[in-house]
Amino acid sequence: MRKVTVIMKKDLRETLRTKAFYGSMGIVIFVLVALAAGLGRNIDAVIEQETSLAEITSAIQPLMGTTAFTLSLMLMLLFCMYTNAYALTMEKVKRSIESLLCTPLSLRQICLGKSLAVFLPSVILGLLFTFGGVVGINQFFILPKLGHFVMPGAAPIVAILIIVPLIVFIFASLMIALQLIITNIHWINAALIGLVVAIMFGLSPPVLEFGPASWSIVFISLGVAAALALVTIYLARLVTKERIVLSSKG
Amino acid sequence: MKQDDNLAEAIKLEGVTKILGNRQILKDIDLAVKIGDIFGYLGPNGAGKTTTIRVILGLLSPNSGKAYILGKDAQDDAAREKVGFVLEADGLYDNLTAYENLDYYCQIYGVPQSQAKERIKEMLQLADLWDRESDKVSTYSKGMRQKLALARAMVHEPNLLILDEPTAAVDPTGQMEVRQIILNLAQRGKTILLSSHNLDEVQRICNRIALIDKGEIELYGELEALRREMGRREVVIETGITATEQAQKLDGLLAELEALPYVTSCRREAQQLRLQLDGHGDVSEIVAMLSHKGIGVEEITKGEVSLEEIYAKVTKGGE
Repeated sequence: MRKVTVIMKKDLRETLRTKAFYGSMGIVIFVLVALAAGLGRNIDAVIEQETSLAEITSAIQPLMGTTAFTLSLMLMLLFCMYTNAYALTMEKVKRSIESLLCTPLSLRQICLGKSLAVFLPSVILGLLFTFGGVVGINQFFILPKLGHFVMPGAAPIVAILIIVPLIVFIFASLMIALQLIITNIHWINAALIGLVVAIMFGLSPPVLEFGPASWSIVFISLGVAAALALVTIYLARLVTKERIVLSSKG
Repeated sequence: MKQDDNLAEAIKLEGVTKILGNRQILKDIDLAVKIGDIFGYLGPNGAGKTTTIRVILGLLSPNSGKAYILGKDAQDDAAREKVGFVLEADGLYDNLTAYENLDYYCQIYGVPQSQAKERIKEMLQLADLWDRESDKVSTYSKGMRQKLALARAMVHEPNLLILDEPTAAVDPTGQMEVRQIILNLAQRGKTILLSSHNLDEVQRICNRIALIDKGEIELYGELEALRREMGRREVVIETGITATEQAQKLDGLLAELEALPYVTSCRREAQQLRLQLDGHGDVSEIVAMLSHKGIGVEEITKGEVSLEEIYAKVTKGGE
């Protein structure tokens, strides 16, 4: 495990030194502000429609749940794509992965180290920005009108803290497996963006139908995680040193 | 060529065949690098040098045959614990400093933190990069990168170094510096496998060579022995001719000398007679012919065939 940490720490160090990473933070902050402004208008509409404080709170809570759930998933997947650029894409393009494969590290250690280097910052930042967003929306739009915070319900919080990170970890592993064995990195990146969109849109109808306060969404998310895990396990079996080397540029 | 079985082998390939796509890149290769060897691995582009190195480093698995490094199966991750390498792509991280690049590999190889600092400093000093240790590698020239890659290869004190064209795309000054580092490493008793296009480099550094062409080992053995044994050799005879008449006599003799079965070429340069003989040439017969014509012989110098000539002969011979 110590060697896995070594790989992860080095990748994180590299990522944190890139302008692109901080650029991604800027994009996220922009998205958050735009989202908060839109949500603020919805909250105002709810406050105008409902009469009692309890009704207003119970109407706003699912809205907060939907926002927090969607935001966490979107942000974590977005950060995943950014951190992956240095954890693996550059290693593949510059062929430093070949040198890494010539060390006594096992392929499993390398893949796990890389997956964690992509997963951990993505989840930490995703959670920070999600809860920051929730607190910000409360601070600017809910607290002045209701006098208290309205937080997402138990089911979305469980989904955000456990299920979404699980999906993200599997997604990170899938992304790394794909990039290790396929030559054209651009095609893979395009395919991965497609997958992110598919996950987002795939989860949107059930979220809207059942509502994020429902435990159904937790189980549906678990199903998505299981499906991704199956694909990842299949791909992981194809990852060999030979495939990695032969699919590297040069 | 036969191996001395008493010597331990740092690298051993037994009947290694590698097929990529429809192409057989390596054809039943047998090769051994003995402990302490500075082994030159030569061959034209596309001959199979890099594929061989990839098999040795466990990056590619052979379709048939076995590869061993330091007595272990090359596919075993643990076999590479005491192996250092410089590959075609240097594998350095541009966003990290020279120190951090070496520190990363120290951690991968499990060099204790207490020793790592000293090792990194020693290696960066050996590569003459200590004053640039905190600069990002992206600011380094190609030559500096190659020197750093060599320092990285040595940072965990490996017993075996595998260098795949370490001076390729490096300017002449950089090449000299890299070569000097390799020589320093050789003096430290490391076993080195050096794949190179640079015949002069191999001739200066290596004690044994193998030459691969079209996936087959065409030549293999001690460099000096090969140079002695391989084909023709040059003989320079310093004659005692002084007058034009004697020079004419010597010129007249050239045709007779060239007619000898073991003389491949013959020419006069002022007082010198330069002959290329094949492996079985008899210089005494030539001296006798000169004496018979009244031409005195002052000195006979025997030259050896250069690696370049061996290379040209083997690679062209196969075509």
